[in-house]
Amino acid sequence: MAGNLKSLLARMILAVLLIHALVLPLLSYAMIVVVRNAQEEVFIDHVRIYSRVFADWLQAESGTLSDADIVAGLDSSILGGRCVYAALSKGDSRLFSSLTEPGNSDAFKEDFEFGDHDDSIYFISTPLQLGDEAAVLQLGFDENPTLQEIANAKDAILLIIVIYLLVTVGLVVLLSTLLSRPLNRLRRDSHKIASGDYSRKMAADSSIFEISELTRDLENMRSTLVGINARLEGEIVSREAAEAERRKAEIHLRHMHRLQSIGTLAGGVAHEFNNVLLPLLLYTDLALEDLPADSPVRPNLERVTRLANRAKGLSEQILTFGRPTGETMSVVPDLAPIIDEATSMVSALIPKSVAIETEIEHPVGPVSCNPNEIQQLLVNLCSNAFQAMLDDGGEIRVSAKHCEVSPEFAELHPRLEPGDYVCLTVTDTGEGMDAETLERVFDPFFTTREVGEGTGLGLSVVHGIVVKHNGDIVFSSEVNVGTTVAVYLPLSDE
Amino acid sequence: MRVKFAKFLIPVLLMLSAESSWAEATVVLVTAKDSPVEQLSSLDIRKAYLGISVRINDKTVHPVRRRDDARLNQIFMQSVIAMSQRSYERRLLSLVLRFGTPRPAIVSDHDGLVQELMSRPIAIGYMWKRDAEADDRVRIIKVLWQET
Repeated sequence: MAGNLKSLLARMILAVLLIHALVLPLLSYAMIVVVRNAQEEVFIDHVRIYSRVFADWLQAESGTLSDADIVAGLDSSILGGRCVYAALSKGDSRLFSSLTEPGNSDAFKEDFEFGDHDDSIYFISTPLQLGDEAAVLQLGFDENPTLQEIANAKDAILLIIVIYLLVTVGLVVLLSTLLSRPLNRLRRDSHKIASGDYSRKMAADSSIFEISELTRDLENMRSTLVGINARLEGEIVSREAAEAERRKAEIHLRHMHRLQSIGTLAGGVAHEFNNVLLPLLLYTDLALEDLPADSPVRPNLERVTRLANRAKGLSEQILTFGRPTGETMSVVPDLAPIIDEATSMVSALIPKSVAIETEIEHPVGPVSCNPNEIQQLLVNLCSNAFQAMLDDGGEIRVSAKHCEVSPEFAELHPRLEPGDYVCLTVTDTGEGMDAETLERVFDPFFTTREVGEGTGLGLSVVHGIVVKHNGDIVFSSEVNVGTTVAVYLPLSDE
Repeated sequence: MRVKFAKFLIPVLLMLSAESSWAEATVVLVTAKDSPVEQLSSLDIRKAYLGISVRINDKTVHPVRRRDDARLNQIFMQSVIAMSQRSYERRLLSLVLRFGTPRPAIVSDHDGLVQELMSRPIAIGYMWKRDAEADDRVRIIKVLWQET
């Protein structure tokens, strides 16, 4: 209720009613007084001039008029108008109109204002001279018709005021409704904006200039707000994406540093290990040379030689991961034959449940590389791929093509620089890897296979080869979908 | 006992006597005692008070009005002028502007009226008859109205 009373409509109606409650009674009273005074004045003027003219006529005709003529004149005045009483006093005698009611003979009480004496008759006496004799003409005029006219005028004024008040209130209701409708729409729209819904467009369809302008300004503000919001949301999204990429790059960089440290350490260990293995192999070979062919010790020494060679292979793999091997690099104009050879080798090793497909551009290069290491890289990647599909089978897809590294991509992979590269991709449809596994794939000796089934050095070796060739390696994997490993090798200028 | 009754009766009779004289009020037209004005018809009086020139012995009659006695004025308006007060004012203004004659002089009381009558020999005014009879500086010309 209090809210309704505070509304524009209620306030306008209240204001109009209040103003009219103050003004209309005064106005109607003033109008009634004016009308009453005017009517009374007309009445008094009429009766006074009538009496005067009648008296003047009697005075002028006094020498020729008999009493009967005078009575006839008095009768005529009653017949002709509002006169209800007519008499003439001269000396001690009085002549009455024959139409005067008998009971009214002594009713004469002179009036000087309209409504005197409460008898509804305005009595007026007019002195005159009938020859040598002074006389007084006494007439009485009915006040009721004038009183009725005043009452009618009063009723008409009150009726007009009531109609005026109703029309005014109606117009105020109409006007305030016309005013409040667009204002209410504005209020609803602004509430929606305040509550975060910017989608509703504000329509400036009011014919009232101020409201139309206000709506247009608010709509401009809303549009600006929508624009700012969209820009802010876009900025937030791009910042979040940039932050995620930055975090990813940071993790990648940290991982690279860790691998570098591990590689340095592992390389040192492998070098010292080689220093031990080489005399061991040498002296075992010398001992075998001196032993007769049927010596029972020979099988044991041969087993020592095999194991030592295996250990040597391991240490070489560690060295490949940790530091440059010193093998010569040459410019290979087309990597396709190398890749074909590697995939042929892998085809011979993998079970039939796993298919291998290739998609290789011809030529794809030139690339400055060690062909043996490239083959080792592909064999290791394909080996990992089919190991992931041993249970259910699947498909390995090997592709090689030219690609261009953009500045944005290079920013995410610090080992790469914008430019032309050969992209070797190995994709499998295996079990895929989760994020935790992905983080550790290059760690030496990290493996998801059973103990004794893998060394955990395959991807470490791949990483070492890629780093040596100034390239980079990018993993993308999804659990139960598969893994894609992309190796980027820079194109050679030579 | 009779003396006491007589003391009570005499003032009552005097009061009744006074009431009787008031009830028989009369309005008269007056002029200065030595004024040459002897007689004026009702029409001439009306003309003079409506601003129309009325001449006696080649001299214009100067009417004088009073504003202090409302009842006297009402009787004068009704019996002599035969108009309401406002109609008279409007009509007077109209005729004064039309004929260029001076408006009737207006005085505020009996003494003012008498002074005005004495200063203008052809001046006329109206007053209660009893006041006129009590003042020997004025002379009654005509009875304008008598209460019946």
